[in-house]
Amino acid sequence: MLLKSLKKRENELANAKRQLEILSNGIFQNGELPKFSTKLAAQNQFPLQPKTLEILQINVGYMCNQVCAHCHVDAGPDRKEIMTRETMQQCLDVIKQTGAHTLDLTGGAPEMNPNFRWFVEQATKVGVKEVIVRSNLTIITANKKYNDLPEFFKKHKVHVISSMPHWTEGKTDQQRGDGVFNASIKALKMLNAVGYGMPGSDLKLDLVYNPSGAFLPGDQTALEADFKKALLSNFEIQFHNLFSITNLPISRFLDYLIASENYEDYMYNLVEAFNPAAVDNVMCTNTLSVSWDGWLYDCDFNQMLELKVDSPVQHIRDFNKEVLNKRTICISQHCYGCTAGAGSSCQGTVV
Amino acid sequence: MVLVINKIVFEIVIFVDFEEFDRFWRIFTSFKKYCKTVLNKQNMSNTYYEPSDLRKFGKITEWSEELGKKFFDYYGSVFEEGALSAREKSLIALAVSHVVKCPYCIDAYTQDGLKRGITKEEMMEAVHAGAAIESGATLVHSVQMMNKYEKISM
Repeated sequence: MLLKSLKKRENELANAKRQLEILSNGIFQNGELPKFSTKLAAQNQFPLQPKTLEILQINVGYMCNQVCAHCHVDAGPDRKEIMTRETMQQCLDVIKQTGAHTLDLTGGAPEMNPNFRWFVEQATKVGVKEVIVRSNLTIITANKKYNDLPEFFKKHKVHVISSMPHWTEGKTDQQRGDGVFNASIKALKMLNAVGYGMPGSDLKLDLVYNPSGAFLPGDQTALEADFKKALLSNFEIQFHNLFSITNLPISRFLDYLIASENYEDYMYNLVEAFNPAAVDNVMCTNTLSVSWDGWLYDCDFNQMLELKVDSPVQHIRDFNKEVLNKRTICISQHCYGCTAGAGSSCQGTVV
Repeated sequence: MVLVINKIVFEIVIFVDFEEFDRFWRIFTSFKKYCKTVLNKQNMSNTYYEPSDLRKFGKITEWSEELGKKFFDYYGSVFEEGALSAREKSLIALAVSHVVKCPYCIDAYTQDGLKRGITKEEMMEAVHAGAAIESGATLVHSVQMMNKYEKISM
């Protein structure tokens, strides 16, 4: 079990430039595998450009109560990067003028930001259709002050999306840490108790599945059926949809791939599973990612690789929809993760 | 060798401060990793089974396009959802992979099982089902032995 982030351990992979180097060297440099740009060009899909902005995904900080082995954020209790209320206000001002219908809050554990509740309250007032919180579940049971989160979410009709790598304890704890499975089950029961995830309920509770290892996710519908059956019969837990998300080869997952000597095989798997149909709907075409300090990125993964949007406008305070829409999306070999098989996004498969 | 290394580590722990030991340990682990890679490379070229050959499976079509294509079409159809679920077929394939002792197939269907969320308990039971049939196939021949024994004994 990891206890510290790569950053705290001063691991070379905490350095975004080093990660990008690794992703461009070796099998991609010697031509064994085509670079993502080459692959796109072969399908006449290069360069990637944004469509209408629908989702503003805001990373309110990298602090987290968990240290998951696959975390692309390298989040953990030792990460101190936290969005201020001032930056949150800038985000709110932008939401008012963009017409983006969804505000997607992520982290770290977004609930750990001291201004989290204020932000959610304000966001529901400015007229977004949907506020999503990506909750790791265990935060709800981690401390008394978070125990009322299900009630808070309900009051503001927040759409809760939670991670759950498997319906068995062993596989969940292996990825997310000891005790995470039982705490997650408890939190899911608390959410169910206030109406989240129940059939026909408009209190949306979706689960996210990430493979716990160096393999790609299987069929989302089949996995959803298995999850539903197991969680209902073993724990009487209900939820709406399961989103299967491919682990992208960056940060702690990249570290794991290299250390376990699975990196090359994994990249082969991703490239082999490249699906041009998935490229049409990759999330960077309808989403903008905002970091804790207000910088803009094509997606949360590019944020972690410090690849800011390729545009004259790079910060939320200078936001300009028209200028940003003319940009070209920044890509590297990690992007193969979003185009493999049925595709992968924060909303699950895209095909 | 291990003993010597352990002794070195032990002495360093005693005589050097933690930071220096940490630095030594990093160099030592990367050296160990390097040796492992070199050894692996040497081993690979001397074995009949090369794990990365699995990636090249599709290339068999290059030397016989028609038959290769027919095979992969057939293969694809077999594993589609049908009267049996794709999940059930994956477990059957895993069991058979063991029975025919195909390392490529074992790699492929362990990975396939993980993708489908199949648990290790399910995988191991499938392998036992295969193993039971295989040992049963051996043992059932003993009836022939018994018959022959009876026939030629007075």
